[in-house]
Amino acid sequence: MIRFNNVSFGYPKQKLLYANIDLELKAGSVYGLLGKNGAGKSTLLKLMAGLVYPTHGKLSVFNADPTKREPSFLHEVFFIPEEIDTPSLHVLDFGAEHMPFYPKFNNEQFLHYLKEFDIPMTNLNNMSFGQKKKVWIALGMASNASLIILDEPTNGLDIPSKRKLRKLIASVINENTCMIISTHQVKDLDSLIDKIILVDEGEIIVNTDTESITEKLVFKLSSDISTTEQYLYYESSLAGNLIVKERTSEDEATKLDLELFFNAGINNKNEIKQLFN
Amino acid sequence: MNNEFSFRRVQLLLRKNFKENGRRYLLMFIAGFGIIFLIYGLLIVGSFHNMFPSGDRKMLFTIGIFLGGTLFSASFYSFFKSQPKTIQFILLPATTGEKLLISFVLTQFVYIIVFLISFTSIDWLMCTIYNEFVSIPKWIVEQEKHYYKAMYLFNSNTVLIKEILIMYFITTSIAHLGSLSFINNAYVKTVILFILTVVALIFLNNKMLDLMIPEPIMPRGQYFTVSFSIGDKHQPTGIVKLPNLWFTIIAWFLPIFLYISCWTMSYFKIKEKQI
Repeated sequence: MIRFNNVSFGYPKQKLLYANIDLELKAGSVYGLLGKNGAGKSTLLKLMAGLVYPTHGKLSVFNADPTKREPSFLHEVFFIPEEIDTPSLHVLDFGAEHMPFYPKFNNEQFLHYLKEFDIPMTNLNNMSFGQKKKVWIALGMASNASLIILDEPTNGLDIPSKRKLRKLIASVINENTCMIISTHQVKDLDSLIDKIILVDEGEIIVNTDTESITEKLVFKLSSDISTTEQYLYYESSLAGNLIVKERTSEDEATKLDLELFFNAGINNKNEIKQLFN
Repeated sequence: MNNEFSFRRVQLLLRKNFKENGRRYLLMFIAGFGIIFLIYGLLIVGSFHNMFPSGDRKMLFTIGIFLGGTLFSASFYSFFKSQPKTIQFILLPATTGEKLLISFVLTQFVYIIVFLISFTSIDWLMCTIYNEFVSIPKWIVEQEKHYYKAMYLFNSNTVLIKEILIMYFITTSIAHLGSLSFINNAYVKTVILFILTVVALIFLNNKMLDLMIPEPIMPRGQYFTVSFSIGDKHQPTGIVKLPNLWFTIIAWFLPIFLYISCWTMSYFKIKEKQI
């Protein structure tokens, strides 16, 4: 569905952010894009949407060149940025103005999602940031675009809305849809994400599914740190030491701790990279 | 709807633009209309015992058309300051040509039509009021009384409407390109760049002729438009004048070239816009 082939990208007058990256994303999955601030997560999303152009290499999304921004490509892509800006329109007019541009847009779905999110039927100007964000999310989901990109979707959402968002994402994902979620709040969406892309300093450290991670790694809470055992990463917490180590045949499978995996990936980049590539 | 240019999508974009910006356009219209109305009001109050000044009205018309038109064009893409709005604009499923056509229609047709209708209406109304209430001083002889009858501005043959319109189309195209090129302070930056370019062109024009012609050019230090003198300051050896045909071709070619260039560059600015 999305293929980065030897792609490089850098902003003008700055050093390359990504150098010769190869990456493939498949339909039917919810990708979690993780990385530190400034690691290039948003840039990677923008590259996929055709908002920035690769300086080198080939990038194709549904076999199309995103930089051409052809309508047939654009109505398959819906990008919800972290910050949102809405016009002074009634929420229903807002939907009605976008609807004709997306051939697969379903107005009934849109109304249903608005209801699910408890959006008041009023002008967008009278809404809070979180409500406006939910309107955008509802619009994006109702567009039935094949590629939905969400940049920090849970920012500004209250706890019930986060739960509803998870429910919504789970209901719209199918074998033809790919959803990419860039987030720092991994705990908000970890039950949904089935593939992880971890980026750091312009490098793709991991692009794998959550099953592979739990197959290869063990996440444990231990009261003490063994000097004989090799850990990929550990950190101390109030409850004890949180450990990430390579899974051996004796270890039982553990639940994926995305936050711990993220920290392991950032702090022990080379070993994690070796393990998953 | 496919990847080809679609008038249906243009209609949708136009409707979307009016829905989203309608209130802003209305406020701009009210402000512009109010300013013209107010100035006309002041003119009429000061003219009930005098002639209705046509020069001031012409100036108001010219300033309104240029300042208003260029400000409107230069602010057309002011939403580029907002990253989410820019993303929304870029990713809205329509071709670049369709998106560009919206700004073309609004800046090149809608503004001028609205301005001309508004201005003509105010002018007509104020001339009618003036003609109704003017008190002609008693000492004015019968033959001169017609000077106290206000003529509608467009009845006057001294309004260079054709030239003004050509200048309007060119300056608004430049302002529109400026709005795509500069995210902040587009109007100010475009005006400064425009002035610098004109000054540089005049300077370069003289310098190039200096290089081409071995004798001094325009010894009195004046700039030239259609002809220039060569030779000594006190004894010029001749005047160089372009053949009429050349002049006509250049006079038509330059504005058309500038106009098409601005819109072509605008097209590519939108097409290549990255964020």
